[in-house]
Amino acid sequence: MAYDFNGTNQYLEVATAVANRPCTMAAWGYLDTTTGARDIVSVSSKTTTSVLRLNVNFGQYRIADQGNVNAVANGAIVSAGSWNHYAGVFASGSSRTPYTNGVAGAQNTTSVAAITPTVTSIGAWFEGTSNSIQFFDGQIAEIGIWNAALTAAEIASLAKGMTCDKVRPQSLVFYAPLVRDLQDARGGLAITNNNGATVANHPRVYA
Amino acid sequence: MGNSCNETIIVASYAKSAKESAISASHSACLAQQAIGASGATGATGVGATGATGLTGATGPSGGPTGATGATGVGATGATGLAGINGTTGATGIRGSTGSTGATGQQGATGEQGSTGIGATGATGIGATGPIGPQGSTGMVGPRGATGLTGPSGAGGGVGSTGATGSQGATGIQGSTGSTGPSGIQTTYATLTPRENQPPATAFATLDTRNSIAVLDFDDTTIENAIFLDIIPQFAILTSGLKIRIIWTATTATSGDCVWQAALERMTTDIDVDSFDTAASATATTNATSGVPNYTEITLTTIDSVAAGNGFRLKITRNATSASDTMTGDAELIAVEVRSAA
Repeated sequence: MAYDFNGTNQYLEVATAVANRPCTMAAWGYLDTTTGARDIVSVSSKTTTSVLRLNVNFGQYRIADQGNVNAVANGAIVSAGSWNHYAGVFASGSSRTPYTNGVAGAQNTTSVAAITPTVTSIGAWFEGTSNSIQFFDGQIAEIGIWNAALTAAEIASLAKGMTCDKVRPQSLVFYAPLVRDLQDARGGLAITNNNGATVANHPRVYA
Repeated sequence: MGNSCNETIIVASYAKSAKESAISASHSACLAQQAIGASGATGATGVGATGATGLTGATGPSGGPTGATGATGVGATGATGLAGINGTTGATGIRGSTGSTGATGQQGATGEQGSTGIGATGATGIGATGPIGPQGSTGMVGPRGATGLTGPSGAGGGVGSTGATGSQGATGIQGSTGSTGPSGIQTTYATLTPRENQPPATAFATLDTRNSIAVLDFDDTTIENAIFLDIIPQFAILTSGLKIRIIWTATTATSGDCVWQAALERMTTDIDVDSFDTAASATATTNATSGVPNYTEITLTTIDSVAAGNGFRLKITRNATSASDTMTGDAELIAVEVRSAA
């Protein structure tokens, strides 16, 4: 079962940044609406603007690497009311590529400074303060974070429904299926449910 | 004087030789009375039998002067004495020699053969009377030797050979009719759990957990499906089709009926196209406790001609739009068993 977020204040939090560049983040998302900027998953900081994140901005899926500048790579336009698979490969400080349902978007090569994320969040992100922003409105499930840049084929496998633990498991550092239970199936990290995100139907996956 | 002569006559009457000796002796004695009586001749010593004692010569007169030594009388030889009395019984003969060893004792009692008994020495023979007793007779056979010690137990006998097969017994009385047996050997061909679900692209049952048990949620208003893939075992018997047993529970419902369907697809055709055979269905009432599993069995005779060794896909569906499906809320599929129907 996925978790359903109200788009207002609900999000999940892990009190550590589970990865930094190079890394890959992926998740399934079901938007209830395309209005607003909605963060899916991110590693960020409550004191600096260091962030790597997957975001839907008014229906435009994009990934951002915000060091000293905000380097953004756009994926596909998505619609509300259906499950989509989102992934972002942050290969380096000058290479980031978004994937929407297994299809790569344009790679962004803007060079940015090193970052120092300190927290992992699902359904929001921290822009240098303790206040989370850009809450997701809809359902999120199957969040995986690898400390490596996955290949396009690996991303496509995820988009077909393979669960994160079946794809390059040796590099997987965080895996939250969100099938009812709030647990990191890989690293065992605690996941805090802030403001009562609720259980919802799970996307189609090969368990 | 006269008496002595008379006695001589009497004695002589016993035997001629003795009589003649006695007459001679008496004559001599008379001569001796006239001179100096010579001593009677000593009777001859009986040989064997003691001869008769010769007559004692008459005592010469005393008081006279010692006469000249008379001439030596020559006494007639006395008659042969009476036969001597039998000699006394001879001394006991020398003890006979030891009898020969008695006969060998009888064989010891059964067991291992007892040691040979030793016959007791025979009794001493008693020599026969005689000057030298004859050798004693052989001693009697000694008493039977004591029974030998019981031998150690013999080694156990070997196993006897199997007896011959007995003859066939008589035909028994016909037994009573037995209870109805099971419908044949029920063999499990596959067990499938939610983790093996290969969901269709649309209308799929969703993965969920209940008490950390993976389940697949089937909606109560939308028809949803789960698809499992496996291989029919080589030993499978499919002449009667297959039985599909669904283990499930209700998310919240404690009453109502759930309609389950099962359909099979043989994997020998283009996998790009679904080709499930006709589905079979069963309607089952849920348990009064929502977490208690229900076991619902569907007999599937339309199995797309699947054979042993064929790959197959099994589609499980909750027909939520059926009028017979009255259960509220999700049905949670826990596991599926594919078993023989024969």
